[in-house]
Amino acid sequence: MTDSVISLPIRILVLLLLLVIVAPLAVPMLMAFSDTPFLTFPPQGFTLRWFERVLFGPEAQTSFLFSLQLAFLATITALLLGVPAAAALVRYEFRGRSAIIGLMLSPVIVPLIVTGVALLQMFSSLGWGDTLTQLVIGHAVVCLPYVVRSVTASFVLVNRDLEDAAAVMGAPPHKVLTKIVWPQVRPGILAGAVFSFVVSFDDYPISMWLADGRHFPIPLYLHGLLERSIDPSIAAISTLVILFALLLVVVIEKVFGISIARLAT
Amino acid sequence: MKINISDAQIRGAHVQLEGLSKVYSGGTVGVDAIDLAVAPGEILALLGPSGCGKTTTLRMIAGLITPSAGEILIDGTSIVSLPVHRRNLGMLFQNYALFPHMSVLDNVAFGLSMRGVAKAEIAERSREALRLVQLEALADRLPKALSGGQQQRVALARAIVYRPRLLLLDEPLGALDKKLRESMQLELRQLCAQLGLTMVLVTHDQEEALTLADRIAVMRGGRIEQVGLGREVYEHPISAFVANFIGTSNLVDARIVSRDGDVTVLETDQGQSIHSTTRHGFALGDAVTVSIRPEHVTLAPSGASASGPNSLEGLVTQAVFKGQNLAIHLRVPGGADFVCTIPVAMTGSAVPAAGQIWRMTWPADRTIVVSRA
Repeated sequence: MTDSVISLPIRILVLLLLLVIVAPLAVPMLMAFSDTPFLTFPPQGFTLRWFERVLFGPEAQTSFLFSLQLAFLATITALLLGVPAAAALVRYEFRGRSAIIGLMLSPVIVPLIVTGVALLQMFSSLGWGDTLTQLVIGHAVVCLPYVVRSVTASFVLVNRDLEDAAAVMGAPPHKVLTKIVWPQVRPGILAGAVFSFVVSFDDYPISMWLADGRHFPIPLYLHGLLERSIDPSIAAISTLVILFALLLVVVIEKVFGISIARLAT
Repeated sequence: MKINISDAQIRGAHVQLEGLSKVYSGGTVGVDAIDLAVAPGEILALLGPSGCGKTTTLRMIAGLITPSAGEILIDGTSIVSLPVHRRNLGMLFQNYALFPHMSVLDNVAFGLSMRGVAKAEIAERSREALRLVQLEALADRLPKALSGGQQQRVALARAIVYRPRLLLLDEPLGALDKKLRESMQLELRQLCAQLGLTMVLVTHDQEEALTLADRIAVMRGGRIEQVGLGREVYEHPISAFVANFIGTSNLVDARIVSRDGDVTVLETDQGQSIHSTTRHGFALGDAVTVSIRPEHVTLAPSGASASGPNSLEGLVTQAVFKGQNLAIHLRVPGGADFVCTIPVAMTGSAVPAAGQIWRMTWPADRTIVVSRA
């Protein structure tokens, strides 16, 4: 559809929707620059000291780096489980197929806080002590649906005739996989990875149950900060997290030339 | 030695199918013990309605479906146990199956790179193949930037670049419009002759089979109903099914009442007598079907004296102008519907019109006796 076809009321509606989505994000980003010892909107004065405090504060740094590490490990785990699962779900008809789809997508439906407490109970009854492993498993469970969804979508689009054509032309199975299937599912896998990373990076309800003092992801740190003091450093951290997610999307789009927006639909 | 596709004298493969069958896990029979031979350089069409097993047969030759029983021989050697990628065949798909993430040139080069051919030679031979289909100028485009006809030509270049001796075509021109399809058919024929390729073509379009193929195998329910030269199958169908699948036929159920030398006398269910002088293998009393091609029926105004043994009067229900021909639909008392085509150039002052009674006549040597159904 070209722009000229979209009628004016629709344009206004879309604009309003975007405003409702984007405006709340703009508020903390503006408050982060406020030169006051408390959170206020509109911001008064201008300072970068809150960013300075956050970026150079050891606690915030540790939490940020830990969140990166956790998101990375959770994403890898979700990819290792989700990509083959998605491939099998698209390619094969088998008994219990829809049950498996339902189970894998259930973390999106069941409240996360329930999933979190269930995981905690399971881990403690099993007597597992390693917090990092527990967190990675917990996050991977939550990330899996996003990976499965986007990878499934990309596998559905792979035309079986292309694989047949490649095979007829002399490509052995492993070449068919690397030369034909992989280039077509790569965008879906990458999109799934990005979603997964962001979901893990933003997660609070799972981490809340499983984290400890030495493994303290950034959303927990943010929450703790909110409870202790309300100064613009909270806004500064929020701003950094928002910018980080944006950066991730931009990098994927520019570097890999993949439109996340298009893949998500 | 400089390798040049257009100059190379490639002899096509000799293909033999022996008792080839495919039974699916549910017990459904896809292909039922077919025997078929394709001579080197020949174009054979597998023609039939959907579900007749033609595509399954083609895919078994390609190696994309494993046969349940039977042999596939190429030049006398069985290829049944060879995996797809080692069969060295070319194949055209209905939807072209071009790799969307590769340029036209890379698409064409694919088969050669899989064969470990040196880079320089790959480039040269790929360009050569593109030149053969007159698409060299579009080598760097992506497939999606090409028209349907161009895409099919890329697919063709891609399938012949590594010089297979057998080319399989799965409804290759189905997605093209009529004009383009006709020119592609001629192009394919010419290319096959030029390269000496053997081709096996799957189609449900009888016109395509007649235009493109030397021989036609009409398939039905997993079996080959009739195989022969296009003209032979058209002029001497063995069953009502074949008669109606290749071209259109007027089919009348009848019984053989007498045979006298070449002349077979039949009686229709309505009690009319029909004479046939064509060869057939039926005996006295057999229930058969008489097939008469619309172009062999001539029309005369009602009341004209019958000029031969085969003559019926019918009510014209429709007269349809079809460009070169006029198609006249008639209903014979007793219910049988007839259609006959008369060249527009031959129509004189009196043209049949709906509501009139006309007399149909057709020669006994154009009256084909076929099996019912």
